[in-house]
Amino acid sequence: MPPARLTVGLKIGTVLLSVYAALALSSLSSVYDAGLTIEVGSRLLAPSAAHWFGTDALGRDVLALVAVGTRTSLGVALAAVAAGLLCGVPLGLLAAARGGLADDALARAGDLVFAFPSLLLAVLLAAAAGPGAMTAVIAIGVFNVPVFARLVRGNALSLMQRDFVMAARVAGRSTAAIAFDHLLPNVATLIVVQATIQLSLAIVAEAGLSYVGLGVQPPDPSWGRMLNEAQTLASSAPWLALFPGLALALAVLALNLVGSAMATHLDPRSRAGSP
Amino acid sequence: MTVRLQVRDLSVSLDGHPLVTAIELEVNAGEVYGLVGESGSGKSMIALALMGLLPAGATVSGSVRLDGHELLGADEATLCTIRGRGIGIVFQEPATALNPLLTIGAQVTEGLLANSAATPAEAAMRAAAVLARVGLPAASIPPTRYPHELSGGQRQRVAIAIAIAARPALLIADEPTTALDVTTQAQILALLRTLASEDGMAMVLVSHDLAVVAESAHSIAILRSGRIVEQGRLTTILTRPAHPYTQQLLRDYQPPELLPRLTEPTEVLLRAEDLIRDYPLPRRSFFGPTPTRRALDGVSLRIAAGERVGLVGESGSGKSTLVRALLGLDRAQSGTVRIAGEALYAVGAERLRPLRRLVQVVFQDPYGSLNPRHSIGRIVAEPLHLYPERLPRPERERRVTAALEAVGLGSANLRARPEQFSGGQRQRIAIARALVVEPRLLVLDEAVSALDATTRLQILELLARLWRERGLAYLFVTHDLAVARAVTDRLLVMHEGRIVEQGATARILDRPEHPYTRTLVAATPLFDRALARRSAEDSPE
Repeated sequence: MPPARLTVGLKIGTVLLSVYAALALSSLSSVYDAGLTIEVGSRLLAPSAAHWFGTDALGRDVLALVAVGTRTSLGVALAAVAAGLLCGVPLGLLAAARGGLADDALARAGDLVFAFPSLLLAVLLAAAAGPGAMTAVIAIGVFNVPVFARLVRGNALSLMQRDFVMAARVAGRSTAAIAFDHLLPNVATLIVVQATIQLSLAIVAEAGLSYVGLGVQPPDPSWGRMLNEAQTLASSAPWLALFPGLALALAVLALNLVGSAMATHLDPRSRAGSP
Repeated sequence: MTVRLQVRDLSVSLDGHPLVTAIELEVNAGEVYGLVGESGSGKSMIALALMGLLPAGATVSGSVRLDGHELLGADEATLCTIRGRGIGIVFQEPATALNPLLTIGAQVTEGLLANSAATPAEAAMRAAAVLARVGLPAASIPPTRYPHELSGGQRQRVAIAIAIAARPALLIADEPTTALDVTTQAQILALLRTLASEDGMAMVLVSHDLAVVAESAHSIAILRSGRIVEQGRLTTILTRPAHPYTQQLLRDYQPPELLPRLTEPTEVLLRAEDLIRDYPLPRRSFFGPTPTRRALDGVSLRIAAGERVGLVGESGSGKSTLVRALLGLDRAQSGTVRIAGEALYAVGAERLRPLRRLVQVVFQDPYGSLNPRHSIGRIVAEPLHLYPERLPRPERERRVTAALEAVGLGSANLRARPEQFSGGQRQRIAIARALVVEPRLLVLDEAVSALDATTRLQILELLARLWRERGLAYLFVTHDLAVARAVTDRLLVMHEGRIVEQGATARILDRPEHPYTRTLVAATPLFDRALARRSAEDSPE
């Protein structure tokens, strides 16, 4: 039995994530179109029944902006983590299964990426290809590759010493077959847990890049840019900073709650023993 | 004789399930009391209950008195004092029982400081004396050494020193020699016995190995499903067992008779010539050469069709390296391995597959050798990848079912996961996986060492039947000389990377010639020999 605290955390996290998913999906329809049109006459309205989250300096509905921003933030974060996962996991498996030069090369490349400042890479990419969602995905994704590669390599290395891998080698299986048939299923749960953590980090990173203007460009809304635009009006119209900030914080909280609940549930040691 | 430990009607249950029931024990000063049972019989639970270290949620009833003080129901502060001063404990795995970051002297001193009024200097002196007493004199093993600088047997001596430093009334040894080699095991058992009698400690020896207990204990309790089925003087119980379970245990403990060989083996299946394998060690200096350790030092052997060959040796003797070299999992840097005349290291990937079909392997640990994420159907089918083209599905399923039938698991659900099977069943699955490609030589790498006596006997009988029915050859790697005697015709004794003696198994075990073989044979706890010796000790009065 998992501790009650964690089950509650899992429930809260799941509910929050469902709300975000609903927001992101609803923004694909036309329900927010009216709210996104610029109406200078109704600018900087405080939250009310008509505008739950108030309106911004251009008279746009903040709820609509946050909803569309959810799609941007989650979309960029998901794409970046997926890219990191799809590149990092096979690289880590390969390094563990082959060892030798492949392993060394991967380790050094990982060190290089970790040593490189992420913001600098984003600036370079923006300079080369122009800022935008794709730039953000690449800049964040690159830093996710070694995270997954290292996680997978470390755990796969200890699996390589297990007798079932020896038995597979005696059964004539190739390195690739051992990596994907034997190693991958045994590290899959770790990957899932790490992915939720990386997702929350990627959301924060995306907001940071948008905040400094290297992410999604106007007129597409994003949480980070909303926070930036709210900065000068923070004392007169605090709702402009409050709602995107709250959306960001709750998204990270929800992912962390779900992530730690999954880590506890999937880890046989914490599942079998007492808390 | 004074009674030091008195256990009355001890019962432990967890979530309403009884783990141990109505245990009665009385251990005198200087007496060694053996608790024997198979895994899950509750023997370790009794040891934990004696220390007051039961898992959270366990309920315990009855009485445990140490020198007259009741332990059950005592508060935590009292228990801490009793554990520190009154009870010493030695666990199975010395590598994890010691703190890797503290010197061995500091670890012995720590307990002395916590549990007595000694000053640090006095404690350090007493620690050095205790270490010398367990056979680690400061002259050869200074107390400033770290655990990783010691061998497994030396580490266990440190663990024993920590346990006895405060001169406890009770010493609990939970499988203290299971992780050690036989020659080390004999020394550690002798040490524990001596310490118990010199210090007048009550000692509880928990073991699955009847021979280990027969070597050391004065009294014995046989456990099954959390209950003592029989207890009393060791020699009485082992010579005249009253309970059917004890009788069965004693029968299971005697390995089966070796089946007679039908024909003289002629066709050589596997031949290894002059194998040499060095492993690099960490460099001592930045520019110096990389030092190496020779794991295989010119090993040659041959195994004929239908032959049952044993390979014995202690850890570090090169057994595992040899097995890996013979299986082609690792290459010796010089020498050749020929399977059915083909050189294993010289052939390309395509010619390697038919060779691998001839030689398959069963590993020691049935929990580690099956991928926990795969179904048993998939596990058993895996070596079918050794056929050049993919077999059609019905053919694959037929072969998997046939292999499982051959090991007595014909009715098993192919979609079940390994976790749904017991250790013995898992080992059968591992054997089925080896058999699915119809090999001619099975390498059994300690394949029965991790099993309980009853299960081990069943697996040995299964292997004997497969040998008779299929004319398989076996390379039986084992540290257990009793098993070697029961299942092999010919024995290879390995020591420091060399085969130091080889010949007919019975001849080697009865009349060993090489000094190392003699040491090995003498150190092995043999049930009959131990019993004879203990009976002789008992009779004079």
